[in-house]
Amino acid sequence: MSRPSKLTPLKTIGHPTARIDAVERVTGKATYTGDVHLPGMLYARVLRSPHAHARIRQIDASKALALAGVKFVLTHENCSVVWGAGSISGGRQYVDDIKKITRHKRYLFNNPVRFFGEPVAAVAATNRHLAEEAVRLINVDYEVLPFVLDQEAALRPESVKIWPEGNLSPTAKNEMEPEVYRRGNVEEGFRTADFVFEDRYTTTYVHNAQMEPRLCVAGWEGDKLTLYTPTQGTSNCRHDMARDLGIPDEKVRVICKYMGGGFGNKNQNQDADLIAAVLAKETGAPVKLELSRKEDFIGVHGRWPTTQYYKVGVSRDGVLQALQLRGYSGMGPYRKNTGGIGGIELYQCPNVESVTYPVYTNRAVSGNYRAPEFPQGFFGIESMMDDVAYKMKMDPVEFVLKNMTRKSDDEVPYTNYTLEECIRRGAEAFEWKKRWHPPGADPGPIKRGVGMAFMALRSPTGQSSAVIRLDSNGRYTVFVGVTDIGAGAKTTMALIAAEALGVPLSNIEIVWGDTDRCPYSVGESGSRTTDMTGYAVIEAAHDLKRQIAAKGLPKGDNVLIASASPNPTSEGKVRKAFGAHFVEVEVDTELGRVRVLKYLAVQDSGRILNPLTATSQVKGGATQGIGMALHEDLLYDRQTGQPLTTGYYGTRIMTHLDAPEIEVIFIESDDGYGPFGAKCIGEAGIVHAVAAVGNAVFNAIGRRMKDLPITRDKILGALV
Amino acid sequence: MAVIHDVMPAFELFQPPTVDDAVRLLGQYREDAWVMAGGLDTFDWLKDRIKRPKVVVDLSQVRELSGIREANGGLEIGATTTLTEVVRHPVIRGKYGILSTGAEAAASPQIRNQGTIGGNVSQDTRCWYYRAGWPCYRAGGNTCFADTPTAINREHAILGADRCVAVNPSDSAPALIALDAKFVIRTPKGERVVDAEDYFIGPGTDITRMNILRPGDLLTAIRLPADWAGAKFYFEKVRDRNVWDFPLMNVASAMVITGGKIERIRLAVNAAAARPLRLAAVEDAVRGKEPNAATGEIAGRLAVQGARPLRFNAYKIPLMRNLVKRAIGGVEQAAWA
Repeated sequence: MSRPSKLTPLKTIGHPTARIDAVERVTGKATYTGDVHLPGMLYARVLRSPHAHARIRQIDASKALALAGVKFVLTHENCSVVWGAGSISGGRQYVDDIKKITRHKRYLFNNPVRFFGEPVAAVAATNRHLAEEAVRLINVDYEVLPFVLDQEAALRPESVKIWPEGNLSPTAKNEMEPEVYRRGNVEEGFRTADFVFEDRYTTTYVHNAQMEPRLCVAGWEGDKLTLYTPTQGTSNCRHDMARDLGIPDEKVRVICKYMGGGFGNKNQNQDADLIAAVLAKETGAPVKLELSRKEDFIGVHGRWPTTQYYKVGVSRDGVLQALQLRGYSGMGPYRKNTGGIGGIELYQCPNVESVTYPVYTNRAVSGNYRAPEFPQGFFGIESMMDDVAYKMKMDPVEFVLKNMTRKSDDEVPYTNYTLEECIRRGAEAFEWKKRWHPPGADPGPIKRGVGMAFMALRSPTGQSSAVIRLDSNGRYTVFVGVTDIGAGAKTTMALIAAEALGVPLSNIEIVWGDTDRCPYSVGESGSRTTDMTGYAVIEAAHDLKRQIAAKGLPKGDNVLIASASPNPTSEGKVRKAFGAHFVEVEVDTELGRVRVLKYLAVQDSGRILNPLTATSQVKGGATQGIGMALHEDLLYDRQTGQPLTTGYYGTRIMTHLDAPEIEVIFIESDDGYGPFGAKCIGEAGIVHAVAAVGNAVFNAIGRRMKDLPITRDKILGALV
Repeated sequence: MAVIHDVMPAFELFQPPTVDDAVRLLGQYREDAWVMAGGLDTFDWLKDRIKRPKVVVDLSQVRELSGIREANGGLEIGATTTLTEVVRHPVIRGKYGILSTGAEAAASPQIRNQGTIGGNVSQDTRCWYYRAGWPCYRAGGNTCFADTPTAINREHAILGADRCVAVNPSDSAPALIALDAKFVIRTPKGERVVDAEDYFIGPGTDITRMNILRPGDLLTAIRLPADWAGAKFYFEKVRDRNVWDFPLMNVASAMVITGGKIERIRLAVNAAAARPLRLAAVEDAVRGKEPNAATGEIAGRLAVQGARPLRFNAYKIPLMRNLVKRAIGGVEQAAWA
């Protein structure tokens, strides 16, 4: 890691700092949801659909209920709770008004069931073995229906209609229309372009594969629900639960102290949370529901698979004239997210048209996974542009420098702009000119090749809250509604507080992960916590310093309490983080094997608050991107619509031996926004990693791999 | 798979202290008994309720089954010796390095610490249809779900298929065949010793089993004869990931080179068919020739004769051709681990 920084150094911020809770974690003292045991707690298990699409004629749970110790069985017949975050028109996740009008609602238990693994019934029993045995004894009579797995095929007239209106998922206004963006006139652009290129790229469903599967413990005291659950956003989860259960927010307490990662798999509330809460209500006892790894793979969500058609017009000197995308995103049978395909915005071009169809299929549901709409779209468009550069006989880096974005949508300035510096510095450090060769030029059989890809990623400012209490012992207690999904939010908040207050880190105590104790926080999604809640901590610190200046330090039993709920904007400007990845691979053309030899990530995430955790974020993202590029896939049987490769082994997620050494260079900047100029980083490492690896494979073998993942069979198939 | 299981089912557990006790139990319970060594293959089957034995005979307490000893100038490896012990054993590393390499290619360090050599050679196929409990030929049904026009079968067989197209996933098996290892089996009638390649069977022999063990039988040891000690070895495995992955294919060869020519050779591949294949015709074709790229080419082409690809595994044909080529003629650039 290196940091060629021009910024004025700060006292606490910007130095490699171990997590403040590291010792608790590594000594087993940290309490995860799985460690929660409440007196009289029942255990729940879920019966899931063995069909990709089927109507339930009848459910007979009498044998299950006859078992001693089985307390309750929930099915669509006795539970009509709507899971608002499970399906929403337009995929606009946090908008209650749209949830109210959403046409394709998702119940906790649906009939018909629309994907293999969809919950059909849930059992609460006095122990796990009994719950599992009871699930086996539930008899369900299904009428099996036709199904469709592929997002493009699902729009064909002959495909089964998963919803009465068809398989195009409606917009936020319930209109059966694709998502469209236009500027200029693409037809005109293609007519005047000297060259026009067209191609098709596909990406697959990959799962977040976080260490800890979804689980929860729910208990009621009177009319108040306490939910222990690993969530990437305690405030959002509380609100989701309250809305879905029809109770006020203050009647729900969400606790998430420690969790085993999320990568977007744990945003909002999950059906498991609601199932446990309803079972706890029905039985009058706390209920624990833990998903197994296999259930987590098909029962929650992963990244949406896409089919992307590009048409690109360029002038003789390699300048983009027109850029068109027609894309299809497979959302599963419920709309949990937008299904957007990012990437068009990376390029400067007068004529642009992007038409994206979010499509219902009978696969596992698609949703958030670290930069939800970007790695798949960036792979498509940056592969396409790499290919255009090749066909124009241009060095891909030169092509990018000529055509990359300079203003948001070619119109609105960025708060600062370091993309060119990221690319130039990266090319220099990587020795791009020395390593790059014409595609396929290495004689082999083990061929080397290099590739690059770049990114600009939203880094918005926005609303969040923080409270700081100072006592007479000089103890600063910072109340923030964050949870630590692995990125180190607790430590980051403490660093920000210490810096803003001008006190040692050891004087700061963080209270987090509990909606009854902490104010609203934006949630650990969209790489926003540091930017938004971190900013609120600074504002609260300023408030406290003003109070100290006015009243002096607290004495005896007195305390000072400061708070802030800022909602800053970057008016008239767009705030983005920038970066570029450079990759060298070795492809064994006789065995189809790809090995990443060298990986350089250059990243501008503004000021780096903690170089230790920031570097890990970039490396972790790139590592997941390599897996998505080279081997991760959830394969489905086409006769039955059953997934075949659930779990860590089946889906081939990355292992330590697959992860290369990744070098990180931070280009630090301070655009005047965010906490001390920090911009987003959590998602920034993955978004262009997939494309960079794909482009390196192309440079090695001279064949373009257009369908993810780039497995040995595809490489050998292309070379035969 | 309507029920996704997360806890073990109930079964009767026996932990016999001696081979005699184990064999007696297996003879008593026959089809109802399940032999468990390291448990790596066992636990998935049991937890998923795909295999539902009444009795599990756990071999972990049988001391005489574990360990590596010198015998008749060669070595005898107890069946429950862990893969890690096999990988690290100095004599295996020194004289039979191909077995060390093959065993180390299996799974992950944690799994090799628990998994045994007997279990590795006796494990069941990874066919995802069979593993998920589909009622296929191998499970006693009357169809193969992996061999339909739309089936997902990139990991399946290109050779020796007979109704079932599953492959054997062992990494140590081809190394043992190349070393001309002998497998020692205790049956209710006494002890039996078979050549490594005869331990494994294809669907044409018995579609529900992958080796010759019948209910009541127990693999007790694997013997490495001295004949191939210190030969020129080659082992290579191709998989999607660099660790914790079964082979898409692997190859193992042992050659004795005299006067620049191949005097003796044994060659095997696995994950090409339901049993690890000893390529005797290739051995015959290259004997007496120089172990170079040209000979490798001939060997590779001959090896894949008769191969029949399924919809998604045609790549296995060039893969096998190239692996065999390398096993004879080496690789132009050093292969990486």
